Amino acid sequence: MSLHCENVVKTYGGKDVLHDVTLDLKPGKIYGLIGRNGAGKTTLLSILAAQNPASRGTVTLDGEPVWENRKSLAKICCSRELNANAESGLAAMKAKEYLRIAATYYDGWDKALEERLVKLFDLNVKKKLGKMSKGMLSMMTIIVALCSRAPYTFLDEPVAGLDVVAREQFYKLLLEEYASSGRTFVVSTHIIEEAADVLEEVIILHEGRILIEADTQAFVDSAVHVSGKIEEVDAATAGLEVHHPETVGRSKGVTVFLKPGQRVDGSRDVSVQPVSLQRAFVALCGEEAAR
Amino acid sequence: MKRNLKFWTRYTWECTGMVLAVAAVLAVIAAFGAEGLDLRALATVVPYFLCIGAVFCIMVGNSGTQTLYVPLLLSMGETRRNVLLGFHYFRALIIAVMLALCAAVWLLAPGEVSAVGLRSIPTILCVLVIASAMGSIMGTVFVRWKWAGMILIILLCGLGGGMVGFAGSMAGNFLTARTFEIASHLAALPWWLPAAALAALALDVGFQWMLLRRQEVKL
Repeated sequence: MSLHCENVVKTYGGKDVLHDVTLDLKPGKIYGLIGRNGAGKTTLLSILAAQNPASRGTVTLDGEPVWENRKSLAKICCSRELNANAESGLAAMKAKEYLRIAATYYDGWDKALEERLVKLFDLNVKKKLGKMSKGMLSMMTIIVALCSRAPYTFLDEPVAGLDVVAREQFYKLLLEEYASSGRTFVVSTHIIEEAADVLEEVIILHEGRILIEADTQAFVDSAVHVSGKIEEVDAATAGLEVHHPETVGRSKGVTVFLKPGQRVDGSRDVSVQPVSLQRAFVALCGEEAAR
Repeated sequence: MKRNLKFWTRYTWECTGMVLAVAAVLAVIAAFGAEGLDLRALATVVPYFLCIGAVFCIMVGNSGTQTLYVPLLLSMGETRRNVLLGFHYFRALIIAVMLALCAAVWLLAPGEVSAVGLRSIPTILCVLVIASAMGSIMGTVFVRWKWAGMILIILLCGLGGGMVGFAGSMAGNFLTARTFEIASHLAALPWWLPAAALAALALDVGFQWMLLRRQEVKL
């Protein structure tokens, strides 16, 4: 079983937001979908879950199209950040009503887990969504995602409004659920460092294109930070894939992505340090901002 | 389909409750406005209050459904086709419930007005179908064109609210001899009314499906 999208293009007002995205989500993994604001993460997740139509391309689950296919859609849950402001119709809806509708529509809804999570997050389900804080709304999206028991579950910015304690609780719950069910999760997040230990695979989306789709550890291991005098760094990294150069006086630091068999020239007077997922991401996607 | 029936049937009962509440308020106003309380006379006009409440609630409810429940159900993995079918099931069911309630009250309280009332059921059906289509179109317009839709909704809600207000102010008169005269007008079904109802329904379904099949879920 795999969720596959092929050459997906999404266009808004003549501008391509997603460019020929091809992706294969295998069962039983936790994917991290990371990218800068406007990279197309929410758009991609929405298209994978048939919430938005693609301008071109196909999305299939086990070879069957997802679009307008209830059998496939029953296996997917895309729990998006709720926007319950005054203009939204959701503002007047009580949290328990929202959960009741979710329980009606998700075939495998786990009522016991819902009760447990409501208690754990100390949520007042009699409260209207419009009266809830951003953190509480994030908790609602987490509850829907986990309780849906959908084999493919997408969480779009699930920790955006959560404090550090709640974020820890979320990652613990995610791993617990993953270990017990083997479901596939795709988590889009900006808080990369905290999520890094949880994500098995990382998908980096940049300006509507997939830059990296790799095992998180392998990706992090392939990147190193090289620093030293400018000429030494340049010599040590000659012929390698260098990103995000930073120069201070006569010193220079770069992030290098090594392909299999490649290594930084150790005979040079440079310091070679491992980098975190966040730093590797910034090196790949933050170059325009750095310039 | 089972979950669709469950959701929309429950929503029908919630809307029915709203209609009954509006009708009850109008009935109380009528009872206080009349000279002397004649329960039998009141019972024969209650279905008209139900119809006024139904027109108002169905319009507002359908509009709200388009802006809230349609995207919500799509976000929970329902297909567009099923959402459309479920929504139309709800619309048909609530109209059927309203007509059944009107007919039941008129049958239980026989009399001159009730007899005319029973004959006016086809007219009421057409009016409710038009109200339902208008509410749905308002919602679709709002989803697609936000502010233009909002202006249209405000105008139509103003019209609906005005109708309820007018009905409230006239409620006392319903219990006078004019009741029969007013009810008689409804008993005659003009040829253009079913045509208008069908046209409104076709316009609504076509318009809704055209937008729904490409609609993006925004919550």
